[in-house]
Amino acid sequence: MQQTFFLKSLKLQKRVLSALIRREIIALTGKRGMGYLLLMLEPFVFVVVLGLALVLRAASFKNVPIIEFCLSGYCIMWACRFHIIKILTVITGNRDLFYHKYVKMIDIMIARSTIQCFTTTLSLFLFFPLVFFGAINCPNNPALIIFSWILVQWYGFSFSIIAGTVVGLYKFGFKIGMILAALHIIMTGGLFMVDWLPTKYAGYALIFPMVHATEMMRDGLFGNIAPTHYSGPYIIYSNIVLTYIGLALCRKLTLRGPVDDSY
Amino acid sequence: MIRIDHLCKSYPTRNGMKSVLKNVSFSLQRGEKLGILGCNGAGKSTLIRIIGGVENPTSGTITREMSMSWPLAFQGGIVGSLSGNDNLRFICRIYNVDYNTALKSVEEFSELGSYMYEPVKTYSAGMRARLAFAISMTVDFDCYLIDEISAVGDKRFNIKFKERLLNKTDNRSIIMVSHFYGVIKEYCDTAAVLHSGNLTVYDDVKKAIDYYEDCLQTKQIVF
Repeated sequence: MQQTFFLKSLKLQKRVLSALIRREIIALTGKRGMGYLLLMLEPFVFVVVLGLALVLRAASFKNVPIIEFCLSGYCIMWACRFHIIKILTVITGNRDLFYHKYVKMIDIMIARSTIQCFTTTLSLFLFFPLVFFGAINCPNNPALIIFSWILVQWYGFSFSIIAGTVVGLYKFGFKIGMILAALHIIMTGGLFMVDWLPTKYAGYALIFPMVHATEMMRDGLFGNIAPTHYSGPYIIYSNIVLTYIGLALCRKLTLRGPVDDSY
Repeated sequence: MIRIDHLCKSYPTRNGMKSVLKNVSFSLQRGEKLGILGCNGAGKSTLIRIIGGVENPTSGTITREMSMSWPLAFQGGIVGSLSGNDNLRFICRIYNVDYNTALKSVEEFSELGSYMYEPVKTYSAGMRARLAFAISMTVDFDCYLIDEISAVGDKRFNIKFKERLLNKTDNRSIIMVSHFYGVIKEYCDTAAVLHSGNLTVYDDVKKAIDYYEDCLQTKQIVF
């Protein structure tokens, strides 16, 4: 039986994506060898430094375990920022690939984002040695941590498609991307607990979906030690909206072609 | 066959929209070899990129009924930071070609030797062209889109290249653009001239060359 148009396209899509993902892996590992594993070190150093700084002021933290606090906040902040920063160069880096008509804008975006999902997830493995050496208590609810992490990756995936297309759509898109990445330092809520905020402002902080995700991860880590405020469905709804915006922008970019064409 | 109907393309510039191609139409049967002549900035590369599906036209339609190569040009199609071998692997995956047989034929045809495993950005223009051709030959397209590139190969390569490309039994089509009519005369049966956004097709290459000369000599080129 002849294959339907849809099945044929699906096969082609799979082929292109797997080729692009392999190319991304070569780009990632080829230049630095296994040195890319050092990526993990950055969150580790940050967590240690911030943890030590906070230990000095431990008295002002009621009940909140400091290392867990830093780790949960920083992992998510780092993942989101890394997702965005790494996609800003995806169009310039892969311009030559658009000469193959099967390779579309959305394909290179998905390939890069997928690779970023894996590299950022490496930082989550920091939990294992820390738990092993007794630096942090065994998480209260590991499933909640994993669930929040999946939502973080979904968020990073769709937000990076938005950031990547913005770079292609506008001449000053790269700068917008850098600002978006910088904004995620506060937009992810790594530096505070919602419970610490005055009730008046807590509502504003909870506009950002990643504040919910951070709180969710902290709930998984602390359990009932410290109160957390979050809503799982809210993260899912906002991720759906972000994914839609990302895909719509990407479609626009595909039709229009990226600016700053140096073909 | 390939049919192009009322193709227009304009680009935004600082002085408003600039129309590069105005109403370009032609068709190409399987096995036909078309050369397109045009001076610098006439829109030759733009046209070939649109035919290859790299860019979208502003208006007009393109009907492609045979498989077409990517535009073989100085840039594009091959990634500088990857080695020649990795580029081949990537293209094999995309176009669904067996890598091992492709590698053998690319090594033989391009004669790059150990340079196959060096990053493409360290290649000379000629080496890059050889690699691009060798890879595109393994995919076996019906129609090849060639953008000026054949000028960079040395004589030995050009002979080999011509042998492969003009092989009668394969019945391949070629669309070649150049500002240099020597190449067009060598490879093509029909020729067209792209001048101020309009394409005029001639059955006789000689006539096209005459018109092209005319354009170059008498008409002032205005961008």
